[in-house]
Amino acid sequence: MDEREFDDFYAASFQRITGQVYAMIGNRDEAQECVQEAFVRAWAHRRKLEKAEHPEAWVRTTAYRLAVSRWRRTVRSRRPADRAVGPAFESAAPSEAHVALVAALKQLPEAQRQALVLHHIADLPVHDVAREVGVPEGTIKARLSRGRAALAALLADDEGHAEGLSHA
Amino acid sequence: MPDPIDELENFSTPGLTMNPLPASEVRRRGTRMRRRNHAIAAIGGVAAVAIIATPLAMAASNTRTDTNPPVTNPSPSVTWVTAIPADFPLASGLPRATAQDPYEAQADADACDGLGWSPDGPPAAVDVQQVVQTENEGGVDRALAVYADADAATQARLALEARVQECATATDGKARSTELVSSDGSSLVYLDHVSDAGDMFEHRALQVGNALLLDTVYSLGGGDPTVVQRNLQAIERLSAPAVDAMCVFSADPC
Repeated sequence: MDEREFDDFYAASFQRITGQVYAMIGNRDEAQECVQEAFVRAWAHRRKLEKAEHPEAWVRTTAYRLAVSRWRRTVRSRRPADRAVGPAFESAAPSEAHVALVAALKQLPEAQRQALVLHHIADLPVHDVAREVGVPEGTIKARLSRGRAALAALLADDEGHAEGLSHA
Repeated sequence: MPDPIDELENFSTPGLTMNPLPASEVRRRGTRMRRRNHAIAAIGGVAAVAIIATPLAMAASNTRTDTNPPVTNPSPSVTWVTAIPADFPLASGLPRATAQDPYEAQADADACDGLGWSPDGPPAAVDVQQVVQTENEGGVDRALAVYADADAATQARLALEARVQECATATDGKARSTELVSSDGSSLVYLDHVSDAGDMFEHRALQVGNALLLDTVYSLGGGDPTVVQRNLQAIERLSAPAVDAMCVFSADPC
């Protein structure tokens, strides 16, 4: 991968991958930092990256692992701020639906959230999700099924709560 | 009730004003990272060769280098196999592995000086072989060390565990730190966290009789128990034929 190819890859995929990692971890700034770092590593390992079948998946996986590691290590170090599940991060006002979705995703188990994001937001087929996560396809199908059900329940709860407030 | 799939598939990132670094800056940082990694690896390699050159030569002539008293075998009648058989499947599960001779430690990964396993002990190994397989990022490293007897192998394993525990206490919460994951009567698993970004080396040392098998993998995700467990499962799966073949080093050889 030469400089021009890398620059094109970076320009074409940075925002997309950042959006996907943001959906996975619920923190926009953290997602952007981790994706940035993942692209630095991608250039550092570009000769090996050339052999990767899906460079974008490599960057996304690297960014996600960086985010998880930073969060875990923050917890382990007992730092006061929990950056990966931190407070408000939006620089512009998001819609209520967006806030509800991000909040619901955060409440899902990590494995279910990752499967949902890769399949429905990154638009990967089940077998690609399975390969990226490193588990059998059946496991991904189960996580998707449980994740969808849990997400629907969480969004319904949120809607019910909002209606209750509006009736009050 | 909202359809969660519609919600997901229309997921957008409102207010997501991206200010990514220019591509040229990303490349500059990547190049710097690559040079730094190479420099660290080179320093580590030179140090490892210097440290082990003499002990290995002495081990080859069956000369003990440690000053500890000789260990007592559990049974005087046991004759331990002290040379690695030529057909030992050390590279099992690693189709692109190449032999590393002499043994070369990943010294740059140690959070504390003298932390990792070394063939010069004490006690010193009497025979050592190592294979290395390079992956997309990092790789897999496997070494088999044979000791004079089972007591010596146990002593080497317990000494490693003691160093890991001591280093883990000293480095808790630091970017470069060590973490003991598990240990039992024949093995230990520990991590070397080498950066704040989650890079780590995961090690497993497994004893059978008078031999130790040492597997190391590099991965991201340090601190995530799922990744640690997945790495361990990979080590166990890939090394299974080698572990089975280690029965030759047991008190009752296969």
